[in-house]
Amino acid sequence: MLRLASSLPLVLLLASTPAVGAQEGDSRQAAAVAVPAGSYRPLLVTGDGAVSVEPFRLDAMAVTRGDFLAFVAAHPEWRRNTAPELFVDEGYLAGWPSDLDAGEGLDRPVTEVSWFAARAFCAAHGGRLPTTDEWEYAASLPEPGWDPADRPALHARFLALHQQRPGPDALPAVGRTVRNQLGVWDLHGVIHEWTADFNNQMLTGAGRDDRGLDRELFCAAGSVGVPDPSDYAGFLRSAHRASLDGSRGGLLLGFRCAYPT
Amino acid sequence: MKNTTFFGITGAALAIVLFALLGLTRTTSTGLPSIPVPELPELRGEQTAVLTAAPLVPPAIDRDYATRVKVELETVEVTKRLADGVEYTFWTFGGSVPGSFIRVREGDEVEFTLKNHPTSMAAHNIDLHAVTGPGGGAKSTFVGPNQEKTFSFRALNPGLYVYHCAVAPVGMHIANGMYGLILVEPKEGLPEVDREFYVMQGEFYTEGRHGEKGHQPFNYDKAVAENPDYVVFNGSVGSLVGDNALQAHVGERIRLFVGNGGPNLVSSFHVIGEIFDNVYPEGGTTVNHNVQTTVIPAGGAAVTEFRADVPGELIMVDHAIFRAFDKGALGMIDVMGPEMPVIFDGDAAAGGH
Repeated sequence: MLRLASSLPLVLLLASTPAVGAQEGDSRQAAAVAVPAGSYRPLLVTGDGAVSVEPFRLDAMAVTRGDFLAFVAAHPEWRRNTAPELFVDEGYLAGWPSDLDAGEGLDRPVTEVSWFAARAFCAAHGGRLPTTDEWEYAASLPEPGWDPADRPALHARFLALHQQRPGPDALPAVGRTVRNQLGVWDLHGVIHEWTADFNNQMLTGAGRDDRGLDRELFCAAGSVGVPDPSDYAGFLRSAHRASLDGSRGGLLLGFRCAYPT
Repeated sequence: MKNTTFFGITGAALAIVLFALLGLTRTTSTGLPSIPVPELPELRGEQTAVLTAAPLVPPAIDRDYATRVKVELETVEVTKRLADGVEYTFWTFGGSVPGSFIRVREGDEVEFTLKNHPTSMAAHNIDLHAVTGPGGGAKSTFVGPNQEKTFSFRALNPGLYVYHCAVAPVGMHIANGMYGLILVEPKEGLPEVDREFYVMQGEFYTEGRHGEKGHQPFNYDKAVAENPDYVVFNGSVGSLVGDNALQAHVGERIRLFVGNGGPNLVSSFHVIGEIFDNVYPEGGTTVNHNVQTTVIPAGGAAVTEFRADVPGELIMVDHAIFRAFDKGALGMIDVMGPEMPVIFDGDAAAGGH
C-alpha cells in the first residue's frame, strides 16, 4: 500500500518534468536490441503455462555510471543532494565523490540507484524499466551455440555465471562478460537489475500471510509446483527481487531500460 | 417511545442470551475458541547476547531468572579457504562457518535482529529451530542486501538447536555454509564442566573434485546427488587440526556442542580414543550414557560429554569413515598432562585406530 501510494507523487513529479534530453533518448533507444515476441517458463507459475512476451526493445547493456552522471547533470532533481527522500534513501549514489562526480570507471554499471530514480532515467530516454517477464525472457535466451531446449545445461551455465559475479568493488565495465543470442550483454554475471514490477509479489500479497510468496519461495513446500527446480539462478533472482524496497538501491543492483518497438 | 422500549428490552434480552452463549461456548468475538495465555516466567531486565565463532562457546548462564536477550546477527558472503589451495565463497551468519553460537536461557524472550551486509549478492533470512512460531522466524527476517529486520520469540523449550537460512534455493544457502547453533539452557542450568567447545559438521559440493585447486563454485548436480567433495567440521578441512586443535588437560570434563548443518548427510559422530560419558541425543533432554558413536541428523545437534582421562590426541570424526580420512571430517583434541598408566599403558606413538 505504501508503495502504491508513494508512486503517485512520482507520476506528478515526472509529469511536471519537461522531457529534457530527447536527443540522448533517441541515441540510447537507437542502440537498443529488438527482442522479438516469444515465451518463457517463469520460475513461479500457478499453472504450468508459459508466459508470452510481446516484442519490445531492450538496452544491450546496463546503464553505466557515465550514463547516469549525464542524467543527473540534465535533471538536477535527481542529484544525490536534491532527490526527494520519498524516492531515494541515504544510500543513493553514496559511492560517488560528489553530486556531479561519479568517480572512477564511468563505463561500469551504475548501482546504488533506487527504483524511482531508475524509472525516471528510463522515462527521460523515452523508455521504461522492463517488466520482470520481459527481463526474465531476455535472460532465458542462451548465448550463441547453446541449445535453448537444453534447460538443465542452461541452468547450470546461468548458475555458474551467477556465482562468478565479482564483488561491488570489482564490477567490470558493461559489455565484458556474456552476450546472449540477441546481443544483450551481462544479464547473468554482474549485477541484479531493477524491473518495473519487482514488487508484484508483495503487492498482490494482501493475503500472503501464510501462503503465496512464502510457498513459492521459502523452505518447506518451497519448490513444490515450481516447474523447473534446477533454475537456481532464477531462484536467487526471485528471492532478491522480493526483498527489494523501491527507495533503496544496492551495491550490486543496477538497471537497464526497455522501449516500445 | 413504545418501540424504543420494546427494542431496548429485546436488545437487553438478546445481549443476555448472547453473553450466556459466549460464556458457555467460550468463544471470542472472532468466533474462535478462547485460549488462555500461557503462564511464562516474568522477564527481568535486558541484556545483549555474547556471540562466539566456533570452536568457542559463550560463557554459561548464571542467571536464575528470565530476561530479554538481544541478539544481532549479520549475514555476510565471504571468500575463504575451504582446503589447502581451495577457496570457496561461503555465505555465513557472522562471517564464519558455522555461524555464531547463541546462548540463551529457557524462558528468555529473544529480540532477534538479522542484518544482511550491503555487499551481499543474495537475500537471506534465518529459521531458528529453537523458535516456536511460523518458519522459525524465516518470514520475519527476510532481508535483502543492506536491510535489517527484528522479531521476538520466547525460548520455550530447552535444548541445542540448529539455525539456518531458509531463502530459496534453501539447499544452496545451507550448502554454502548458512547454519549454526543456538543453545537454550534449561532453567536449572547444565552441569558444570571444565571446557565447552562448538563443533559443527557440514558438507560442500564443488565444481572441481576434492583437492582441485582454485576457487570452487557450488555444484548443483552433486548437491542433488548428495555426493559432496568435502565433509568438514567448522567450515574447512583442518579447522581443528594442528595449531587449531582443541586443547584440554587430563582430568578435565569436556562438553562438545555438536551440530550438523548438512545439507544432506547424517553424521556418525565419534571421538577416537574416548567414550562419551553422557550424550544428550538430538540435543534434547534425555541423557544417554557410555556412547561410542552418536547419530546427528542433518539439521540436528547433540551434546556430548566426557572426562579426558589420559593424555594424547583425541580425534573427532564422522565415523562414516571415508568422510573423515578422504573428505575432511576430522578434528583433534590435544589432551595434555601426566600419563595415567593405570588407565592406559602403551606406546601411543604407534597410533592407529
